Amino acid sequence: MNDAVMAKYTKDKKVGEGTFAVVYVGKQVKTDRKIAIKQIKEGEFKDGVDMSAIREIKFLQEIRHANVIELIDVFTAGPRLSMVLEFLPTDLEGLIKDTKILFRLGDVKAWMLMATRGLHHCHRLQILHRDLKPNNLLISPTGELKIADFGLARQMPNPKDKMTPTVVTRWYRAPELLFGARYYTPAVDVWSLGLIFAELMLRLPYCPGEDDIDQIDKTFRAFGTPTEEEWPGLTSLPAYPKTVNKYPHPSVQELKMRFSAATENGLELFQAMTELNPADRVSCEEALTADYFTEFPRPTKLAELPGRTE
Amino acid sequence: MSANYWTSSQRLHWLLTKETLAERRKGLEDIFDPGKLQTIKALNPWHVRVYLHTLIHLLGQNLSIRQRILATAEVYLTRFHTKVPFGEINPYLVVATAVYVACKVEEHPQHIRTITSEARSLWPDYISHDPTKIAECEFYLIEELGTYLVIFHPYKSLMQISDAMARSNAQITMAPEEIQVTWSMINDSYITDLHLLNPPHIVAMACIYMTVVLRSHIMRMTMPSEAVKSRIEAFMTFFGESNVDLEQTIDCVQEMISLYVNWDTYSEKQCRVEIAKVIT
Ligand SMILES: Nc1ncnc2c1ncn2[C@@H]1O[C@H](COP(=O)(O)OP(=O)(O)OP(=O)(O)O)[C@@H](O)[C@H]1O
Repeated sequence: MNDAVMAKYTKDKKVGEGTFAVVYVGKQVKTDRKIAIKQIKEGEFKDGVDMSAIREIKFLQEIRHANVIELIDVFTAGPRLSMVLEFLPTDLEGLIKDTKILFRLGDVKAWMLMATRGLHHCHRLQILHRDLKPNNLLISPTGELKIADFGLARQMPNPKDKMTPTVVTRWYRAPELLFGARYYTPAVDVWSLGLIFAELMLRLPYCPGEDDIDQIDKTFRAFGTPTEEEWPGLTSLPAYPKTVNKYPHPSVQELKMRFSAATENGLELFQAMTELNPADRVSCEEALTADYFTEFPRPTKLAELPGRTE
Repeated sequence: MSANYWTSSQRLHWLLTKETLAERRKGLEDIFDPGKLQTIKALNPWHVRVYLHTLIHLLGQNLSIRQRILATAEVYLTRFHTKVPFGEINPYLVVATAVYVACKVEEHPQHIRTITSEARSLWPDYISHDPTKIAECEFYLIEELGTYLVIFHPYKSLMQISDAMARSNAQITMAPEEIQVTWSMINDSYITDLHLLNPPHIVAMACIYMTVVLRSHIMRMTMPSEAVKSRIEAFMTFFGESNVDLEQTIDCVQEMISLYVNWDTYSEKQCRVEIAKVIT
């Protein structure tokens, strides 16, 4: 580690800054491979290494998968910790917002397939991501989608261990989290993926709540208000609101109108990923066998996907 | 063993052979001058390990930290000492830092100030008020661990194996007090190198073996000895069919026995004094 490791990489220019890190691009000297160096901010060190950085290092050292960002190396220089990551210049949010790019059905399918595979791998290792959103799904120069940002991730706890419900960026937050559930499952990530699916089809966020209360209302408006029969235990969740607006569940017809380009199999998968009751929501493993992924049109080949830079 | 262990950093990067471990330790001795090396080598290494174990548990109890997290901290400490020899840096600081990092990794973070002040109240001669000391040491520790932080423990295997025992033959169902004894043996196993040399399920099996086979005469004094014998036979049948490596398990059992033998001659007070000589 340290100097010997650092000498293996060049740090060329700053490309971005997040809450706890500054990101530079550089090269792996030996291979000339482009890399990103994520340097944890120094200020944090008086209080020890930030939890997000700990989580990111901890999990990325355990996960190796084509659809999860690769942690190539970690080094310390001075009182700073730096992660060497594979270089991923584009993210799905950028592509969604770039109105010059047209998405074909196969493009959306290819991204959904790669995201579901990456997430399935995390779940198989008992890891919850807890912050899936378009801006954490990065695109490699060759067009591969990679799940990134494990700063909120955690190991699936023992059944008795509580977890905090204040995870996941609001628009992608599953209903059980909105209601303050302290025990939840990988289904929270599947919900986020479902909302990303909708956003890929619409090119707009599907449930853009303005605050936590509005988020519940927008979620019910989009998916219908669940009942205690459909979801036993629902109304006793810690943050279930005293009064809720009652909206009907959207009919198939209604959904077809909202997602005019989607196929029936596509809508079926979307619905399965966004079941309000987490116990009824599809798992990644099941999702991967959905007819949507095998029906025509096939997922676009990497070489033809928008967003690749090579 | 859970699927994730097989692809884990623990298996891929931190599972050592006895030979590698011995070589690494030998290599570490070079950094000391001959005088200091002599003082260090005069220490009983088992006693040093028991002492560190006691320190971790003392700090852990005062902060009400769970056993599992302390176990993670102990593995960090053992790994750290394959890179940095005991006596090179203040062991009290390393102990406090290992506990601090383990709490974060196991998702029960403690404030760095809380750990600092608790450690200081326990060991005022060795821990300063300044929390940045732990922050600096955290860096060093994480670096020496190769930034591999996830630790798999035998506790889960213990539950899985004991369930399998009950399913395979009612006669070898583990009684609650047997599980309890095995559990605390696993706690003790962190004093040894077993977690560097074996996957967790082997350590679990070794501790079960000790409870069911070696301690059964003591534990089940009320049972006629014929019954004890037949139960041990039933257990050995289960073991034989279980795919758990017998030789490796027995190796672990012997290591645990060495630990207990050496523990018998341990005096905390004497060890504290001897260690003080080394680190000043
Ligand atoms: N692997 C990478 N390759 C190329 N650029 C990257 C890479 N990772 C991050 N970046 C760039 O650096 C910026 C900051 O990334 P970082 O992950 O630190 O924060 P963030 O996710 O944008 O925000 P936050 O920390 O608030 O979640 C990103 O917006 C992106 O532009």
